[in-house]
Amino acid sequence: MQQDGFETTHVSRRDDARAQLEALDAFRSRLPKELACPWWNAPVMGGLLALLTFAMSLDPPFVFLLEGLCVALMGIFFAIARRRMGYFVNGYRRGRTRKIAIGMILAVYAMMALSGAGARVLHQAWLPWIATLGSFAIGYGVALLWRRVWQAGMTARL
Amino acid sequence: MEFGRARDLLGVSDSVLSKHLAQMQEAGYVRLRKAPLGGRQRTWLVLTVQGRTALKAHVRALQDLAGIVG
Repeated sequence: MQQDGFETTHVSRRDDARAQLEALDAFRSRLPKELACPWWNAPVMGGLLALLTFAMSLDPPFVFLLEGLCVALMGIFFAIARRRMGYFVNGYRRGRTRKIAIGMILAVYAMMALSGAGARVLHQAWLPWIATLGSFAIGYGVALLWRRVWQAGMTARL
Repeated sequence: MEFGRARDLLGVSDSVLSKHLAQMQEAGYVRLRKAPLGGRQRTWLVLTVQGRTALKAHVRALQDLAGIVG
């Protein structure tokens, strides 16, 4: 028995605590691999936001049809993601991802406004395409960042 | 996170996880929600703010016991 002035109970409690902390560290180190995101997550997110942005440049009823399609595809995407992964990264919940989500909404809203204004007000056919590409890049980038922040939160030392 | 995913991650049986979740739910540490997925009712787990705070406090206590400066 280690002669360090501690009682037996203190030694075993310390060993138990260390064992529990080691088990927690081992579990945490597995999380990034276990919670790996499918490769199509970011492109799909970018694609959906791009579609929504491009829809703003169209005339009725096409704008409503395309937006309706977007919303339906988003629902299908989330359902497939939840089924495939067994969890859902809700970036809108309280935490670090919420700021990213709000920033994304504002940026995509600006792109949608640019798309609509480009087609209807400024009559510049290239502006909706630029806005669409912008929304794709925002959606793609945010999906990757969102995920990284969420995983960092899951695996961070407590 | 879905119940089955959590169970596989933790490597425990359904009954062990259910038992612990029931206790954690009673303590306000997790919230359980039933939602359909793939045509079946599934249970989804959400860690509450209270649960996260309790977990942090528990880890700090373990670190103190282990003599680790956290």
